[in-house]
Amino acid sequence: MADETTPVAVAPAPTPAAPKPAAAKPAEKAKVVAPPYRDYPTIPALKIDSMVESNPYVAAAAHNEALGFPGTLVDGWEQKAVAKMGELLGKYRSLRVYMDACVHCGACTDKCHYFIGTGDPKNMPVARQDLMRSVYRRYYTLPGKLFPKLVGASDMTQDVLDDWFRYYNQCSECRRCSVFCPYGIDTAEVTMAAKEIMDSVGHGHKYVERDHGQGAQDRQQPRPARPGAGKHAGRPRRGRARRHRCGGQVPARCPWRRSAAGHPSADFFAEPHVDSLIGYGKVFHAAGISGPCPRRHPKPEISACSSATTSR
Amino acid sequence: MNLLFAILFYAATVILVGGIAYRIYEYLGTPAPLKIPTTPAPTTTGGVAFRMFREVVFFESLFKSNLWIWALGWLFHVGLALVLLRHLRYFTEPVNSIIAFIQPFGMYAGFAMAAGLAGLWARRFLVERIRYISTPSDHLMLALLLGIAVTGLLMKFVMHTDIVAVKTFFLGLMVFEINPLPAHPGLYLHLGMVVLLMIVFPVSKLLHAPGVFFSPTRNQVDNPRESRHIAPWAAQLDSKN
Repeated sequence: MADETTPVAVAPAPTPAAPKPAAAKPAEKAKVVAPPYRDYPTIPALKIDSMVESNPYVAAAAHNEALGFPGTLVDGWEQKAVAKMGELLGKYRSLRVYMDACVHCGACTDKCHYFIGTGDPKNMPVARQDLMRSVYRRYYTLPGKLFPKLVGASDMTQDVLDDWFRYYNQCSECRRCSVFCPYGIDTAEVTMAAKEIMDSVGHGHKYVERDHGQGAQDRQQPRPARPGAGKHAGRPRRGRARRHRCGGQVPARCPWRRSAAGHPSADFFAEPHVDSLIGYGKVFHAAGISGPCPRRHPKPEISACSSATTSR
Repeated sequence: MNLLFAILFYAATVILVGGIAYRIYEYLGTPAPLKIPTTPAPTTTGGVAFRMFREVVFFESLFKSNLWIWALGWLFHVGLALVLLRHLRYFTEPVNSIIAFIQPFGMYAGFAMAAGLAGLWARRFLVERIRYISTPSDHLMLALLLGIAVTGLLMKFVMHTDIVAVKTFFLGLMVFEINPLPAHPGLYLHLGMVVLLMIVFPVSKLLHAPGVFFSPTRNQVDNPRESRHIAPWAAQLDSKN
């Protein structure tokens, strides 16, 4: 079998999960080397703060505001973030139960691919959750209010926010940890809540807010004329439209065109991700629209699209 | 001392029962807007009940994730369950025949419980990852449980106390009478730590016990297509659009 001299093993990894650090300190770029190939997974030793320089870009004010979020970090964001956490705790049973139930047993610690790849302990699911749990304990539990050190509670501070922004953006919400947790604690629920809290105080992720913000703007404005807009208005250009038959029953058009949400390239080029694309296609088809952006595709044209799809 | 322990036990019982009831009320009152059962998930309510049974009784997910933690954790929990059942004899007269039957098993379950706890505690020192995530309260919780187990075992095997008087004390408490408790340092320690455990239960990680039943990834039926699942607050958003 493959040993450590196999070509696979020596291929250096191009720091996939590490966007460039802030321009101010280019010298401190995180150095992440993929572990050598091995037949059986081994649990990496901890490398404290190995991903601490992986700071995603913060969204610009315009992009935040397009989505109805504050443009920049608001005054008194600490209190507002804690209040937002309280709101989410009342909306999501998952979050409330998961904040309480963890016993730090460690079953999840070696289950996250971000941890396996980087060795950064804050990429262990339990530690990622604890970034929020420590704040939850501080403000929403009695022991955290009385004895913060004892239960590992911490105030909502700039350092905590920075860690949230780093490490919650290093979670792909794959939910692998929830498979292994004896209580089914799902880090994705915590990550989503943290991102919602950060958005609500004006600290969004550039590539999330920008893409969604542009989609929101597009929906509010009339669509600019495009080449070929006359004859084929509202219809995907020939050759680019892909059709998919779902079990030979429902013909569905996949949203190949640039859409409001923006699809990951993997949706188009990789297996099984393309199944997601087929999934959107089915949903849009069932809803009677040909793409995820209904105002661009008024009803009559859509029916034309659908009939064109079925007739061919 | 008799009066002190009587008050402590009344207070601890109120806190334990009231606290857990309040937590369950909170969990029940919080909507679960999304269908998020971890797949492969059962598609029927009966299937979910069976899954939950496997999780609670056998710690199935933990078995899949880490054999060491499973072995030590299961040993501790099963030991604790047997020991608790064994202790029912202090609260009932006459003693139920099943409780009488498990007495010898419960005796040795005490050792299993202590061994499991010691192993779990050792992991907090020996395994780098677990050491990283451990807070002082994690250590204290294990110390507390181990202390209860060890003092219990000491009273059983080394320095006996007058358990007939102990039983009279607890039977008395249940009808609001205060009877004398044997003056025994091991017993005072044992009961004091039990009281502390009961008090911290509703505000600590011990909430994993009720929490597991409310975990949406484990208690939901995987039927999002068959029946629409929507929380009240999400339905309001729906109606606005």
